[in-house]
Amino acid sequence: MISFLFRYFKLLITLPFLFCVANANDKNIIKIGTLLPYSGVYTVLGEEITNAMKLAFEEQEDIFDKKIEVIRGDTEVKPNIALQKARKLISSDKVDILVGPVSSSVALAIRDVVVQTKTPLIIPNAGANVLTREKCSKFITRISFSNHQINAPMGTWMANQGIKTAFLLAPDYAAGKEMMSAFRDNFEAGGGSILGEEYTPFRKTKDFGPYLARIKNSGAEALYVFYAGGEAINFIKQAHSFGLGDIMKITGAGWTTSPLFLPAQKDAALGFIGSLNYVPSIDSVENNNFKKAYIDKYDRVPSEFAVQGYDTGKVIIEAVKSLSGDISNKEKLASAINNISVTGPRGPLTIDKKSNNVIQNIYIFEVVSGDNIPELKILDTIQAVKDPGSGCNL
Amino acid sequence: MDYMEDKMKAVNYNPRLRLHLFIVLVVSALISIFFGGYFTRFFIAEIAILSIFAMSLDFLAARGGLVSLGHAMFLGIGAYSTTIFILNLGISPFIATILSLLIGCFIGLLISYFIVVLNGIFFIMVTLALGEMFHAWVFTSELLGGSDGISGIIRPDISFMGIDMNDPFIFAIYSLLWMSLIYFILSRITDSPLGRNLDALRQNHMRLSAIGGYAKVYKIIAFTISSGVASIAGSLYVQLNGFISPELTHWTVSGEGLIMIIVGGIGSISGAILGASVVYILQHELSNFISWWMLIVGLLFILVVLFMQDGLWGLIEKLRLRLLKGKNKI
Amino acid sequence: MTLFLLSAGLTIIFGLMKIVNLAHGSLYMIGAYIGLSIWTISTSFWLALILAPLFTALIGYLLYQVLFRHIQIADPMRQVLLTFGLIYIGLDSVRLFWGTMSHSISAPNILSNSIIVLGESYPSYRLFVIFIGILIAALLYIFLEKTKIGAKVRASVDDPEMAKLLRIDTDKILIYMFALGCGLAGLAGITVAPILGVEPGMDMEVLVLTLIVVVVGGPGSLKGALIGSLLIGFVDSYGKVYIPEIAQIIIYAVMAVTLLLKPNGLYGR
Repeated sequence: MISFLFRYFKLLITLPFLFCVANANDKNIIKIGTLLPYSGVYTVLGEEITNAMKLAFEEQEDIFDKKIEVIRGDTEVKPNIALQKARKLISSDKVDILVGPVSSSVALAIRDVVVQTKTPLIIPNAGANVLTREKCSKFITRISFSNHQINAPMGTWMANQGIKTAFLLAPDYAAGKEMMSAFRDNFEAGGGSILGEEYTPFRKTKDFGPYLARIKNSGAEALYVFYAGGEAINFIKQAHSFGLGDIMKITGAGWTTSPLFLPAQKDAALGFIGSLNYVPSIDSVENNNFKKAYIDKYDRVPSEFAVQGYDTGKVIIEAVKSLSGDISNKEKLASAINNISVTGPRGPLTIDKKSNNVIQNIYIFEVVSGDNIPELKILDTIQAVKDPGSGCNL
Repeated sequence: MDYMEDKMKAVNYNPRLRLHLFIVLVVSALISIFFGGYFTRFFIAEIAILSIFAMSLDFLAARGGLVSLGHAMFLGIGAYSTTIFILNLGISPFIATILSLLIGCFIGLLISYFIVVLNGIFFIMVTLALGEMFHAWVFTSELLGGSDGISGIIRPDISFMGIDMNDPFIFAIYSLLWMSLIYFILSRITDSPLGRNLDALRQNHMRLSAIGGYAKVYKIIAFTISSGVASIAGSLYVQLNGFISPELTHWTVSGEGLIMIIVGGIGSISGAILGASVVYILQHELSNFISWWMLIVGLLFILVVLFMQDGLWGLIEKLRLRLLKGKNKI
Repeated sequence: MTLFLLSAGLTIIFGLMKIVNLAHGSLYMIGAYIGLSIWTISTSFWLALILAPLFTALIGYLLYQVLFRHIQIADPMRQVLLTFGLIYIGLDSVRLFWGTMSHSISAPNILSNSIIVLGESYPSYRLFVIFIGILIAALLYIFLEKTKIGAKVRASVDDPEMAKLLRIDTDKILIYMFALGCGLAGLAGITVAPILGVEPGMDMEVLVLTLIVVVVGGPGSLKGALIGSLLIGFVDSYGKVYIPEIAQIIIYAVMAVTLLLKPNGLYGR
């Protein structure tokens, strides 16, 4: 019997060693681990961010004779998988900096392990407010936005435009609710009032007809809405075919008409007014260069997700430069990242010392007709917007 | 669905091989824990917990003749109830696990009372729908953290014994202990008169109808035990990861669990552990190298379903028979 | 109505072959993507509308020949897992062929305006979708109930052994029925593409809903699929607007109640 046992044993004993292989820690390589979705429904966001970040690295030949290596970790948009990948990147691959993730639930899942292992994490998308409020950390820097940061300025702006009443519509999940409440707070503070609100089951709503009927009958002057992905496309097209735009202004968080979705939404999106931290029509040297490089390389117009990835790359380069290439001390590296200010495609960026959330311009835009697909025309720029960062003790 | 009963006759029942395979698996896990690093230890703990989940599905499928695509719900029940016990009520994590086991059993009992009468395909669809209902509810529940989930869940504090649970080494051992405990309990049940009855009932449809009502009772028992075991897995899972989010309750998690037991070999108990290890390691390794790993994994699933009736267990059994024969000749 | 097209396809497969096809949603997605490609190349929506279901049916035919033939008699668990594997493959193949971007198809010009129905303006394309649904329902009804082939199909469903004795080629009938079911999924995909767009992940969104419709209506019953899809579609669309508190679980509740009252579904055999 023992001999059989031994046979199985030999088979199985090889398994553990798959994981024991320790990577040699090469001093001349800066290892960046990404925690982004490369499979599943959000793949496009993971690709945009990684592509643009690599573009930033390629523009920089090498920094103090160091090469940058990007190790991809596929989160599959599942928090538990992401956590496991985070552990792998940190302990097996020994990455110097982590970049990710896209969704907030994943960010909250990996938050503790990042802080415990003191690995600098740069968030290129996830917007949950708590990440730079109650759950903030000196090792976590958000280069993208907080949900509050994008939506609050729009509340003030619309109230200033003389709009008195609005109706809120968003998917029924954490981010949808955070965005609506940020808008509501500032809109009401500016003298507006909310006549009604609806939260639709997340990723399960295909027919917006009944909601549109309700919104029509509410008598509000404007609709404030947030959707992303397929829901954004469906909503915009359905609102258009129901003629909602003739009755009230359709406004919302800018992702609803992201450049990623405009080719599918086409003219149905015309007239939408939104706010976002980047629009392709920004006329600056940085943005024009970036757009050209991105289109040359990947053959499509960069989205705000790509810009966030690109800026992440820039920040990493600048941080490494400011330490003269010595990134062995992770605390120093984290604080270097937080002291960076760069001017990227979306304008000047600095990190808020209070919360480690980015301070950036917010653009209010209108969707206007373009050559083939609609374009985003900037109506107003709100300079250096901060997240209140309440509850964060740094 | 008579054909279902017919086709599942070939239950991999072999207590001796079961034990041997189990020992080999545990020993290799222990070796990995001792020699592996931080990540490996977490990984083993995760596999151990998934194995518990796979064993619960295995027990249900093999002893109860029921295939559930909604079992991730019980994973979620265990996970969320543990979370609430620890964070909101301040109950110690170990007791929380026991309590969530009881809750899982109770809800399993309640649900199974209504659904075990449904036959094969209907049962699958209804469990799927129930699981999705739970998922949808958790996803929007403010109390349960909604889509973002809840984080900051602690592990059992046994520092008075001089052991620090936050050391992944210790927690991996702790998970392995739970896995072993459940393995032995399920093995005992399977070998006991109750288990034998369950098997007999499932295999013989005529006898099943002859004793009428009892069949239902047995199925309910199997479902209840299985839900309790799945809840334990859920409870340990939150303690391992320190957070919980609704993704854990999605029906595809149940689907992956079923794949694990198919790969391992249904009914063999330790095959479930083997299947969980192999499938999980495969997924993890593949997704590190190629972004279209799903294509490969999907193809492998199909191949296993089509060509490996008894999964890896069947393979090992055949190999063993051949070896035995060879030995006898000498 | 999309729900009807989908669930009609699924119920045919489910009722006839006792196969739970979890990949039905994937076929729906692939139908939409194939339609997208045809539309992009030929710029004719009508051509896409006709060809996409045919291609999906062809895929169904191949799937049956290669895979389902072997498991048709096997236990439901294997069927479920086989089709579960297909979901993975479907998702990744769509990604490899068509990328990860969301797309949309424009409805043909005659259908892109709105029509006033009962005092409310209603997009005419939606009326067209309803029309397609009714048309397919009528065609299927006539096909299954009034024609000779339909009689053979019903015979193979009700009593396969007897049908074989009567020299009905049940194998052939099963293949074509499976392909028909898959074709209907493809038709649903391309029909709704102008409203709902084409994107990865659309398969999962409809799958559970479709399964519920089939369970509620009673597997194998066309009438059940029709009534079930109307019921679930209505409850799903209006229930979540008027009773938002239970929006997430209302359709499951409908299913639970139906099954408690009628364990085989509304029109189950």
